[in-house]
Amino acid sequence: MKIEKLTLKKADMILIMVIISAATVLWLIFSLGLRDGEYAVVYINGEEWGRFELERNAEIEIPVGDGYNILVIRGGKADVIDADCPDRTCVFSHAVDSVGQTIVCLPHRMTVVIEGRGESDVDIELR
Amino acid sequence: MKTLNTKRLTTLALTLAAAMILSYVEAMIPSVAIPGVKMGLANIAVVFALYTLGGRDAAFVSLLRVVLVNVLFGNAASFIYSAAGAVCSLCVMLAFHRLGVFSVVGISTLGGVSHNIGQIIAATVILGTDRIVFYLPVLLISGVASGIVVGILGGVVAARVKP
Repeated sequence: MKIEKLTLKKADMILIMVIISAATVLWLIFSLGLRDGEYAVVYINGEEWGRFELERNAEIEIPVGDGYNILVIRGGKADVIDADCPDRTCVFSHAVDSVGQTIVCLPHRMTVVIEGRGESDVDIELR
Repeated sequence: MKTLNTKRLTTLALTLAAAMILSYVEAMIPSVAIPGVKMGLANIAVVFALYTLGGRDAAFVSLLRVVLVNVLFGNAASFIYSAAGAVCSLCVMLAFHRLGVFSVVGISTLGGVSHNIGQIIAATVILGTDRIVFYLPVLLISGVASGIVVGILGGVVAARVKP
C-alpha cells in the first residue's frame, strides 16, 4: 500500500492554526466572563448534593457510592484534596473560586461548581 | 487486504497488542500538569493501521482496544468515556483520510481533537451538567499537541514497517 510522505501539507498548518485560534477565542470568552463566586456547589449524578459558602472555611467529606471525595474550602477557594477514585484527576485539579469554574470527578460522577448569588432560590443548605 | 490470510491476521493482532501496551503505559503516567489531559499514545497504533492496512482494520484495532483494555483494567464508567472518544475520533479520521486533504499529522490532529470533544460530550451527558465545556479550550490545545506527536510517530512507524 502507498505510504504518504511525512511532510506537513499546507492544509495541516491551516487546520492546526484554526483549532488553536478557536481554543484561544473560547478561552478568552470564558475568562472574560469570570467573576468571584459565592458558593461551591457539589453535584452528584447531576443533582445538587450540597452548597457551601466560599467565605467560610470548611472541610467536607462527600460520600459517593462506596467512595469519597474530600472538599476543602479555604481562603475563598474550593479544592478537592483527596479522593479514592482511580484517576484522582479531581485531586490534581487546581483550586477554583470564579463563577463557572469546576472540579470534575468522572469516576464518581461528582462535580464541584462555583456559583454566584442569585443563581438558585436556595440561599444556604446545611447537611 | 480484504481476505483474512495469516499475514493480515498476525499484523492485526500485533497492532492490537501494541495499542493495548500503549494504553497500559499511558495509564501509568499521571496527568498532573493539566488534569484530565492524556497523550493518546494508543492512537499511534490506530494511525499505523489506517495508513498501512486501511480504514476497516483501523476501526477494528481502535474499537477492540477500547473493549479489551476496559475489560482488563477499566470499569463501566471508563468504558463509556473511552468508547465515546474512540468512536468520535475514528469517524473523523476515516472521513478526512478518505478526503485526502490532510497528511498523517493533520489526520491525527483531527483524531486527537475529536477524541477530546467526544469525551466532553459523554461527560456532559453522564454528569448531567454543561459546565465541563469550560475544559474545552484546554482539551482542544492538548488534542492538537498530542495529535501532532502521535501523527509524526504513527507516520514514521507506518513508513518504516511494511506489513
